[in-house]
Amino acid sequence: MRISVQPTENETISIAKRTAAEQAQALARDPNQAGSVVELRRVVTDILARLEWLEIQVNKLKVR
Amino acid sequence: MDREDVYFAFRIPHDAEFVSTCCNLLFGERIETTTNRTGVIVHPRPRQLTEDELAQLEAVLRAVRPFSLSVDKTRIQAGGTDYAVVTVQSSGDSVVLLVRDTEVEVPLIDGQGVLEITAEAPTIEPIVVRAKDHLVYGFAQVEVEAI
Repeated sequence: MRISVQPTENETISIAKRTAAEQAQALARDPNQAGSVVELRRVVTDILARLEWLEIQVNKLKVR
Repeated sequence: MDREDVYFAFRIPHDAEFVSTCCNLLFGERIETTTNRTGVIVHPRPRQLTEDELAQLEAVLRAVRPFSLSVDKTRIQAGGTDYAVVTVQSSGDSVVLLVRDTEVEVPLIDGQGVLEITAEAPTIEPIVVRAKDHLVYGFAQVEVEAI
């Protein structure tokens, strides 16, 4: 029999942060986007908002 | 034996460390014990167990089962495809393991069962696999991490 282990809350947040960092790095390396500070800022802001939402959800689960 | 040693004349499939840890869980104190081929000796150190405590300990020890865990590899690739094979050996028809905090009943065939572990995401804390009921199966555990 097989069991698939789901990530813990900490691991979920860590994965989201790592994904955000990778996206930001990829954007910075992309010659089409290089110099597009506005676009980079938009993406980072979006990612931070998503992370904040995720942490709020996790905290709600902890309270339950 | 010391004068106050207590001797249980039956064998258990675990060592003295298991008995001491049981005492700690049951009575809040690690009692010095010895196991050998014929039985279990409970020493009066750091204190003598009471008659009731000794009866409780004997009941627990008579119910213990053999138990061993092994894993073919301790590191797997995250993503749900790669897997580690945990092999459990015990007695009875099945044994309930805890994979992290999830209970998994593993059927035993000829005293052996197999559980495959996959992980959806890289782990921060290792995936710990152990028996649910420590006082019956002991404290053996294996760990797997996903990268």
